[in-house]
Amino acid sequence: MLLTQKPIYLEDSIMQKGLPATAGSKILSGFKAPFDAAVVERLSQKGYTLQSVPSATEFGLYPLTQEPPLPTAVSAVRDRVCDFALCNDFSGQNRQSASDSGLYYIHPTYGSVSRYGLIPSVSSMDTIGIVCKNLADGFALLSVIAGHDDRDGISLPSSSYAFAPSETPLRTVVLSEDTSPLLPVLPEAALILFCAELAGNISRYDGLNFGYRASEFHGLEDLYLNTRTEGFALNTKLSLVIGAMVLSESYYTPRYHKAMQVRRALYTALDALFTAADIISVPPSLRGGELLAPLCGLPSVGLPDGTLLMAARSNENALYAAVKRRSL
Amino acid sequence: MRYELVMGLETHVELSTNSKLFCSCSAQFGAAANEHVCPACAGMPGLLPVANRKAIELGIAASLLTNSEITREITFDKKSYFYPDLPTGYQTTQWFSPICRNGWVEIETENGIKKIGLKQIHIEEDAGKLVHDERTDTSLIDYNRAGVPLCEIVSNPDFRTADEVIAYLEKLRSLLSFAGVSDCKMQEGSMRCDVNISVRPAGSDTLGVRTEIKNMNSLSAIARAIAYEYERHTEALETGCETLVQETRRWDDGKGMTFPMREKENATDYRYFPHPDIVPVVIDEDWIDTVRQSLPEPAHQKYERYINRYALSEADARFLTGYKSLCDILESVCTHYPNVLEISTWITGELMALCKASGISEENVTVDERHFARLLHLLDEKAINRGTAKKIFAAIVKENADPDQYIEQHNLGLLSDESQITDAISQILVQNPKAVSEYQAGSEKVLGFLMGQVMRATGGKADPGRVSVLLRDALSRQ
Repeated sequence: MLLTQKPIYLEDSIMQKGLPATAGSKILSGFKAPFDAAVVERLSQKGYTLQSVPSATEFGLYPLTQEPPLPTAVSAVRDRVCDFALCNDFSGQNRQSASDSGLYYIHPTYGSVSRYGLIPSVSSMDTIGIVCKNLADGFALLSVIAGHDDRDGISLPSSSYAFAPSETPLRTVVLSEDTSPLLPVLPEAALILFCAELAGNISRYDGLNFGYRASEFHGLEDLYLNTRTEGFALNTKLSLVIGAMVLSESYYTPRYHKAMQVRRALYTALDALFTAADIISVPPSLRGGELLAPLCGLPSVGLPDGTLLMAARSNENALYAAVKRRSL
Repeated sequence: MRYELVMGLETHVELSTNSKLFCSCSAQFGAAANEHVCPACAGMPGLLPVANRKAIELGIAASLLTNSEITREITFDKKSYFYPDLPTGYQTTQWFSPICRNGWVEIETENGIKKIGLKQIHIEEDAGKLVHDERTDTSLIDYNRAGVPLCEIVSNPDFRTADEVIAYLEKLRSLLSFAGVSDCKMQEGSMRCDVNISVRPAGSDTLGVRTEIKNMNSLSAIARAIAYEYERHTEALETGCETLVQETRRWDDGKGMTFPMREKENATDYRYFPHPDIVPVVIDEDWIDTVRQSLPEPAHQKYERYINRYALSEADARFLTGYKSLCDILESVCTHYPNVLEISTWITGELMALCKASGISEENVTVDERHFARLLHLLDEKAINRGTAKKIFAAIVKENADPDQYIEQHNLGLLSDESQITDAISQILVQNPKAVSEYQAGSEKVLGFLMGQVMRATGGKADPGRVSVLLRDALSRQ
């Protein structure tokens, strides 16, 4: 019983064998996926047809400039070309884009959906999520793509998943600045981690044996410089500079290590909160609030009215129950 | 002015696993270029690293063999730099938590036993291999080696002579190859060594300027490179003909000199950070115990055992325990044949001669234990003589021949019909009257000549002892 007869749109950072896999970047032009991603395997096995669309932004980073809108996974759902789209969202940006288009976004627990075959951006936050028109169907699709995979070292056991709705009362708490004194530095800590890990994941794009290579160069160093100068967008280059700085010998401890400590502290603070609540509602006014779920690997859903709900790790059940009660 | 040489070693050994450290490609040596490559070890995105458990176990084994303190929770870290043999633009290594620290290795020097301290051992992946094609002036990359697991063994600057360095590397090879951690073959690149060297006035306790030497492909090359660098440093210190700088230099064996490598290499900030895709590995007491109990007997223990239990000479025991392959042969054959001394003699004598003659390396040689044992039994039973036995042994080693079948096929059975011997003797004596008179005149030497003739006439199949008796008998009746 398929949830949709239309193809499911996948951002091309999710590899489909033989198809272009660019993650929205010129540096991967010409690169064809050598194998299928785990989510592609699972969807194909069930009989779904799939379509590929370039990722909305290069490696999923915030767009710095206003560029003319290209067809994206989110716009495909908005324009009813398809009913579901899958993308990688670590910055909360796709979720924002979905909400702006009157759609829902499900961000699963980090580790519940295998990253095998996903072109990596920020390894500790990369999570394949679902853009959909109604959440019940979205959760049903999540059951299809989630599951343990030995090929992803951080993959959670399969037994965590059961999206049956429940009647038990849900305790909801609204996140505020009082929740943690670290919330104001959350955006900076997140940026440090984004840049460091992204830099570590895109050093492989050197023009040597796949992807884009500069047409003019004299010598090896020139090849590297020209390829990466021409192949990366401005945003990515800025991330590389910041990434190099925060990982450098003199800055590692006060920047990268400190950012990891901030994350660990927030993780612990939220864990404590979840002992007394099932759902945390994140007000849009709270700066950096949308980064909490990806940063701490928590499941969340974004609603068209801008509401963002988070639950404890692997407690997608609570999210499903919460939205069901809102009859959405 | 007397000078003291101070050295520390960084030794890389390839771990004897079937597959690479983080992907399932084969780690076997010797394949055609780029035969053992997958998207991961070619640097393509999308595949995630899955740590090779066997590699970690071999790392634990190396830690135990060097008396080191094992780190109970290890991570793997990214070390970033750009080079064509590094497909992902980073090497996955252990910067924050090497698998062990503070071990030591004992070596024998002319002044007795010396302990060489180890700073640490860590596990990391190897890079690919760059080959320069002179004809087209291009560089070619072979990714077979990219991702193969290595242990890097870092010593303290405890070495004072090139002999100590050689003794240490031989000891490492013995420890690690006998335990199955690495086969440590320098000629295949499964053991590589860089030497950090500095010179200071004798008696000083501050270290001199340090240079690192790379690209020595054999133990003798290492000795030559050390000798050259010592000269270069002492001359610089003595005469000021050049200023020593901290740098990495490349040994050129052909020219017998070192040359500075790109200075930029020394200034790289590697931006180490923990690899976010690799979950930290917990090494608990149970795991360490399991590895400890599975360690095979080390070479020095075999040495003691061969001398005490088997009464082998020190020289033979030392020779045999230099090669795991030879110990394996000795120990497997002695389960089928009791005289270990005899087995040892055949190995150190006949087998080594065969290896030299046919280009088989002592490290790789194997002999079927049952065939070898059977041969020795046949010799004891006097079914064949020693000369024949040597021929059959060569066939066992080269073609894995079955001795009984070989004897039958080539009709090599010891001559049991004595009348054939006495007939041959009669013939030889008739054909050599001069020799007979020489013998009767008192020459014993001519007996050897006559013996040889009889042995040849009987196709080498007669028992020499019996021939000698019958020959003397026949001569006495002339």
